[in-house]
Amino acid sequence: MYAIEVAGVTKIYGKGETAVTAIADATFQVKPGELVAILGPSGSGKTTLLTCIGLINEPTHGRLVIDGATVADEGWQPGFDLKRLRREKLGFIFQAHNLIPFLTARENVMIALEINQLPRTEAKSRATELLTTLNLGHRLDNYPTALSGGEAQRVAIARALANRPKVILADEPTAALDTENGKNVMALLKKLAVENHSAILVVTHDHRMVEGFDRIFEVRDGVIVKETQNIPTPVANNSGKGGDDPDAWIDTFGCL
Amino acid sequence: MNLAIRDIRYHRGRFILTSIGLGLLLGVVMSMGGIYRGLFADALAVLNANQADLWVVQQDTNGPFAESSRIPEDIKYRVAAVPGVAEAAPLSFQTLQIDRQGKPFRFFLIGYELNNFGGPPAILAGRPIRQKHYEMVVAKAMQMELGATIHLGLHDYTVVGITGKIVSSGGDPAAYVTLADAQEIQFKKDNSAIRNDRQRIGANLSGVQSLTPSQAGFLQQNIAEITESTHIVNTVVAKLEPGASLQEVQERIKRWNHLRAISDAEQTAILTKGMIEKARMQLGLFRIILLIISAVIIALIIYTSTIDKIKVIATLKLIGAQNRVIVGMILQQSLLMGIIAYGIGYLLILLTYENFPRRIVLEPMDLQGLFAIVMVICTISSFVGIRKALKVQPAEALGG
Repeated sequence: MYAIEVAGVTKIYGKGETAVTAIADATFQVKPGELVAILGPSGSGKTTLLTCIGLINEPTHGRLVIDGATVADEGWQPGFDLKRLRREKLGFIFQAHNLIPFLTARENVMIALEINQLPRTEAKSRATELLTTLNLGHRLDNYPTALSGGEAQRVAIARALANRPKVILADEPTAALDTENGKNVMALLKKLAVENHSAILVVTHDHRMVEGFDRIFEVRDGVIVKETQNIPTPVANNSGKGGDDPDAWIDTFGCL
Repeated sequence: MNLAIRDIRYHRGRFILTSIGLGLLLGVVMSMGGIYRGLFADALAVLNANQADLWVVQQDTNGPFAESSRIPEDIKYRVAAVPGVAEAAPLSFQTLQIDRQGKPFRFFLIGYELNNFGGPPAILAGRPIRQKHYEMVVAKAMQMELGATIHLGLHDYTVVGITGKIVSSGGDPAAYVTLADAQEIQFKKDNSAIRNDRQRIGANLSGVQSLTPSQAGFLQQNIAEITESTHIVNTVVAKLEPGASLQEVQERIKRWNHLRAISDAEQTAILTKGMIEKARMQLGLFRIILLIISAVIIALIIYTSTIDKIKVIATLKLIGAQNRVIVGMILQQSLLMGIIAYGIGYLLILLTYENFPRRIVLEPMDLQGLFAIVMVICTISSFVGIRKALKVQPAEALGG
C-alpha cells in the first residue's frame, strides 16, 4: 500500500478567462519510508501540490489517497474530518520552521501531541524523548528565539514526527538554513523516513539539497516534467556505511 | 496546554502594561460609579442622620436643602402640639466659606437644639456639645483636631468632638453648633450694622405725620426687635408617634397656610431626583462612554494580538488544531486581560478612594455588575479577533 497516491490531480484557481492552472494532471505514488523531492523554480506550482496533498487545498480534479484512504476524488470525499486526518496522518515541516514563539522547544512538540488528545504527561515525556533523540536535550526549555536555525528546524521536525505520521510534508525545509545545516536537515529526514517508515515529500528549489533522495519530481508550470530515481547516495564513509543507512548520512554531512 | 497563559507568560511585559492601562480606565469607571453612589450618600447624609419623619418648611418652597426656607423658631411648639407628632426640633443650615491656611474652605454648618434630636449622629472622638455656646462638633472630613478653634461671625468656636461622614448635598463637610450659635452666626449683625439699621428705620418713621413722637418711638422699637431677631430657623423636623398617620399630620400643618410639611420620602425625592439628577445623568453618561472606550481598546488589543499571531494560528490549523483551541486562546486572553485590568482598577480605587475630595461609595452590587459587564465586553471584543482567526487559512503557514 502506498502512503501517498496522487492520480490526475489538477488545481485550477479562478474561472473562465481568468482561470490559472497551478497543477495539471499530477500523478505519482510514494511508498512508506521513501524520500521524495518535488523540485522546481519559484511559481512552478510545487507548494500548491503540497497543499493539495496536505489536505489544505481541494484539488479541482483527480484522486488523492493518503495511507489507503481516498480523501479526494473529484472533490473532497464526504465524511472525512480533514483536520483529524492532518493531525493523525500528516506531519508538516515549514520553510521558516514556524515554531510557536511563546512556547519552549518542548512545548512546541507537546502542542502537536496534545492537539491529538495525548495526555499531558505522556506528551511531555514523548516530546522530551524526541528532542533528546535529535540532540536537543539541552534545549528543551529554550524559546525558539534562543535556538539556532538548525536547532529550530530540528524542533520543527520533532513536532512533525510527534504523532508518528504516515506522511511528512516539508515545504522548503532548508530555505532558511545555510548549506551545511540544510544538508544536515535533509540527512535527518532521510534517517527518519527509514526509521519511522514514513513517506517524506520535500518541496524545494535547491538542487544541492536533493542528493540521496529516492526520487525527484521536477515541476515546471504546474506540470511534472521529469522523474528521476535512485539519486546517488553520499559517498560511504570509512565504516563502509552509506546508501539508506542514516548514520552514514550523518557521518557524511556532519554531526546533527 | 493553555496557549493563552503561555502567550501571556512570554509577552508578560506587554500584557502587564496593557492591563495596567485598561485597569486605570476601569478604575475611572469604578470611581464614577462610586461618585454616583457617593452623590446619593452625600445628598441623604443629613437626612439619614436626623431620622425625621417630617420636614416643616416655608410654604411653597422645597426647603431647606433645595430652596431657601425661613420660619420662626417657635413653630416648633405648634408642630410638637399636632396630634401624632412625638417630638419636634428646629434646625438651621448654612454653607460657610472661610479662609483656612490661605485657602478657601467651605463647610456646612448645622445648628441644633441641645437635648433635642438633629445633632451629630455619632461621636467618633471627643464628646458631644455640652455648653450652649462656642463649642463645635465637626465631621472627620473637616480635618480638624480636637481643641482646634475656628472663628465664625463674632466669636471663636472650639472643636470638642469629631463625627462621621456628614456632608451637605454639595459634598461640603458638616459642622455642628448649637442652634443659638448658628442663629447668631447667620443673623447677628455687628454693632455698626445695627446702628445703621436703627437710623434707617428712624429716618423712615420720622416722616409719618399721624403718629405722635412716643408712638413713633414705640413702633421703631418693635420693628427693630423684628428685624434684629435671630430666632429664625430653616426647618422644624418632627418624629411621629408609632402608628400615627403621616398624611393626617401633613394635612393639618398644611392648613396653617404659611407652612409646608414634607415627608422624609418626599425630601429624599427632592434631594436625589431634583438636586443631583443632572450630575447623576452626567456620571452615568461618562460611565457608558468609558465602558465603550474600554470595549474598543480591548477589541483593538485583541485584534492586534491576533494579527501578530496569524502565522501561529495558521501553523496550529495546519497541524490539525481544532477551532476551539484557537478560539479558546483568544477568548481566554481577552477574559484574563479583563480580570487583571479589573483587579488593577479595583486595587487602585481601594487604595485611593478615601483621598478623593468627594465621597466614593463602592457598593458590592455595583462592583459585581461592572465585573460582569467587563467580562461581557471582553467576550464581545474578542469576537473581532476570533473572526479574524477563524478566517486564517492553514496555507498561510507555508512559504517564507
